[in-house]
Amino acid sequence: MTDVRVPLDLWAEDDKTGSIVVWLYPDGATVKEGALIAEILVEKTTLELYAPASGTLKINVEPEVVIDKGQLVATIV
Amino acid sequence: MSRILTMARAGREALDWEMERRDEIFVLGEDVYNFGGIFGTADGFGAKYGPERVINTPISETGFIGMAAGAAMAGMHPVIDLAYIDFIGVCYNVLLNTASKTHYMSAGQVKVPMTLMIGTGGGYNNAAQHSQCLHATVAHIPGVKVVYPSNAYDAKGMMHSALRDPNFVIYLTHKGTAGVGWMGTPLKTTLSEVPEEPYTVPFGKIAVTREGSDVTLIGLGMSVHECLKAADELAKDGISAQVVDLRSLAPLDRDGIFAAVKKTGRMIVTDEDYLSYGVSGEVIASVVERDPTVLRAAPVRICTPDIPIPFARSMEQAILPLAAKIADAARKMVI
Repeated sequence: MTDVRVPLDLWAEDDKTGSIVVWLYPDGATVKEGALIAEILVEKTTLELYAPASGTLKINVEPEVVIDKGQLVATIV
Repeated sequence: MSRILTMARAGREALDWEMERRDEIFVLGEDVYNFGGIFGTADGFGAKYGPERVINTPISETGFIGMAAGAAMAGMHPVIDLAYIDFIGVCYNVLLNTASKTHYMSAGQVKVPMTLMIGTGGGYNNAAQHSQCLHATVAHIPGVKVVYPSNAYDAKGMMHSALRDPNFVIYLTHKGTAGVGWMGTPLKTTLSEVPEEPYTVPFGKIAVTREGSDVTLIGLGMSVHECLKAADELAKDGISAQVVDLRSLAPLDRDGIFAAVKKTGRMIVTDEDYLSYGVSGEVIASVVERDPTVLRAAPVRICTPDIPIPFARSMEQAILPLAAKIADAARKMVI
């Protein structure tokens, strides 16, 4: 099992939070390592989250919930 | 392999694919180079293609749309990002007399391969000069194709079609359907599975987005999604609503519209553009001119009234052709 975390360097400022705009694969979908799996919004900037491994995506955090850098948002099994 | 994409991402993928392979394509518009377009039409293109192929323009639509039409006649394929259709007024001579007419006036000798991407619509409190739809205003011009994808699959396929078209295409996207993050969480019904490989969606064919037998709800752009919500509500009352997405205004699939309406015998046309002199009347005319006896009830239009779009959220919501109004009209019609 591989954790999908918001990369610590996805945005520079430590005092800002973000939220997931959309998961590009549904819960339970098969994803490939390196695939774009979600968009994350920080202020008006849309950032990208990529799959760290291949396998089945299990989503932990739904869109429009506040997230922080380093947070676990999904797992890939 | 297909993934779920937003409309902005799907259209951009097609544009990127064509730009990688065709040097004649370039993008121009306000905020396209650094910001990637207000509605994400060219996100990342500045860094990838450089300032000669992704050209930031000054706030002077009259100038840059004329430049684009000239470039198209000279063999390039400009892709213009005009973020808001409210700015169409200062582009109008080129649309009306140059880009749309030169192919005809030159007896086919001069083509104008140019794609104009425009954001339409309101619903997010941007007031009377940034919320209009005005799609009838451009669809009225002979010599231009006007297409209006409402989901990610069509956004990609229609962008490939537009970029391969030898003449002028206006590619409309309702801003609320694009799925750009700062506009909020994308509407679920705008997201679709999109193949990674390129494909085209031909212009001039409606899509029956939802099958139904009691009433036909016809929409375009955002109003397709309001029709889908209305159809969900109506299903709870035992009313089976068919939903039609026009997808293309010029050419308009009059045969497809007629066939869809004939199936249920009842039609409600929804349009976020102004009520009068618009697409809604044209769609109804397409049916009743051919055979009014297919209708079991008088057709109904649910559109934005002929007033400036209010800024206040409560007032704007009150005038938009939202699902509750569509469902109410359908209930009255089906009784």
